[in-house]
Amino acid sequence: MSALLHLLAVLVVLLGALPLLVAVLQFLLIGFQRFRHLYEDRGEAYLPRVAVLVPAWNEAAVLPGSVAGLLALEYPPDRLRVHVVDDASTDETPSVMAELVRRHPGRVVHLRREHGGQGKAHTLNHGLARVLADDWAEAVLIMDADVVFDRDALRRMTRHLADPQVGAVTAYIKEGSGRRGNYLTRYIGYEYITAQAAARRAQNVLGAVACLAGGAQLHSRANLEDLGGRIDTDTLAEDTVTTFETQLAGRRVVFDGYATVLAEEPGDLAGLWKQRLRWARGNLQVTRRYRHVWFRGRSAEGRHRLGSWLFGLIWFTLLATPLLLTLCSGALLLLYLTAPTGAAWTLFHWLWVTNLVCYLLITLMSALVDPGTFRRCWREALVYPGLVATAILVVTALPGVFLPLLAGTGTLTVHLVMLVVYAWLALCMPVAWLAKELTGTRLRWLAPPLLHLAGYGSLLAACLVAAAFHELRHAELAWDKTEKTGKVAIGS
Amino acid sequence: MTPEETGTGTATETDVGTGGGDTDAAVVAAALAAAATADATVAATAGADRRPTAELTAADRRHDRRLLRGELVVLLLIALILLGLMAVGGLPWPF
Repeated sequence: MSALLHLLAVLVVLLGALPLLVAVLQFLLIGFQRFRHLYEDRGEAYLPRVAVLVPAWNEAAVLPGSVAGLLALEYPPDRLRVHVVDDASTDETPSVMAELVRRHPGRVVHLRREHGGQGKAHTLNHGLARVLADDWAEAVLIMDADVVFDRDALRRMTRHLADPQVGAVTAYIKEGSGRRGNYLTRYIGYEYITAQAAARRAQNVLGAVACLAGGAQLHSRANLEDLGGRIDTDTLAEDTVTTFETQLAGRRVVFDGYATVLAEEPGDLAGLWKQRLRWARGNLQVTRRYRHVWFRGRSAEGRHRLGSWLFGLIWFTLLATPLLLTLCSGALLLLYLTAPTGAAWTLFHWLWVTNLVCYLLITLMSALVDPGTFRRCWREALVYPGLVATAILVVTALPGVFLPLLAGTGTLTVHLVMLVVYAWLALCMPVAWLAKELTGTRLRWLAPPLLHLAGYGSLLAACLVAAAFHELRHAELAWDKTEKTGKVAIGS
Repeated sequence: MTPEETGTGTATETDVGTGGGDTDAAVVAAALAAAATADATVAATAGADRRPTAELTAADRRHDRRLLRGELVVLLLIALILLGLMAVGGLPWPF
């Protein structure tokens, strides 16, 4: 084995640390939001007339709760109108809406498309055309039918629009099943602390926001009009496209982590996979669509920061994580099997110590960012990397304690264990995928333990790989609606 | 305003697609009842705990400051954990 190949393997292992380093960087940025002056004091509260758009297809079970929640918002009643855009529902939605319109005349509007099924973006465009047709709406809140806003969330969001430079504001979407949830919704709850409450705070600091949450995005009228008064219909990530277009047009996008919104998330692996596959494919489409933006530095006019190196690094590292981890595992195995002097262990040890720092920082910061959700999800937070990875973290933190125990089990066992742990960064993804596959079989009881072993993040990484394959073979862009049951409610 | 916007839309606009079995109807009835309860609760508590926007903003600023201080404490804690592990020989140089 040539020294050059060994050197290459070492470099690949170091590259495998990139997702960890980028995660550490993001979490270090969180606290600096304090210096971004997001909440400038402009005297009087800014309370524009807000038209709420709720796209709905067969949402009869959740609409009454959602509409009641919206009407209960601490917002002047004469400055808030709820428009439910019914995408040709075939369930009880029309009769439910008729009742809601009767109960709240002038405050609730039912807009029905007779020919639907084209997806959320088309439904929203139907509603946007109506609310922008007259000059009543000064801002438009786009949300999902199943989300429930905290009562002060809208006021927290509108305050940012007092600055005409701000085009759109997004809220912190929290997993909302509360005590009625299961292990998977608790994983999602923790994921949303890290991926929304934490990561989007970091994006506020960077001045470039990756995505307005589809379930809670508030736009100024001027911003929507500049975007042509319509939402993109060509991708599966219309919310991300809107986010990018807003910033490319020179307006700021703000994430308000204190404006919180509860959403119902999938309670089973098959539903979660379907949802995340759509999101991941959407992100790949966005990556391709904005290829002229990445890593170009600040735009010539200084209008946006989407082209900054740091933002690009975060975006692409996230997308490349499955590839980086697979290559890293391959390189470690190569070094273990061919390099003579324990280079594999040294690199592996460094990699996992870095992982330990990352794990501690993310877990502790998540507890600080959203203590309420963390209290509910702390067990899932502790095993978020997976039980196997957590065990590796402990062993590599205290090798003097555990390695002698391992050595006592015999040479063959040691070799087998080392092969598995070196390969685990890649192996965890097919194991997580297998957990998802088992949900539709008689062995479905094996799915939760397998997911606990492999880690929730591994499932998302596997989903990203699947999304890449779907995109490569140009699979059909189907809008797969996530099943909603209406279990999220005010006060849950 | 269009008929739809005034909530007085035609039968075609508001009263179609009412298919679904008894189970669906029961779900919808339960949801509407829950919404009615929520309406009543809202009416009863309207304005009771409403905080001025300026007060919300001040609270959010305080929380941002606490988060920064918390981050510093977390970093200190991680440094102490690493030093502890280094002291028992668990970590490679320079930890």
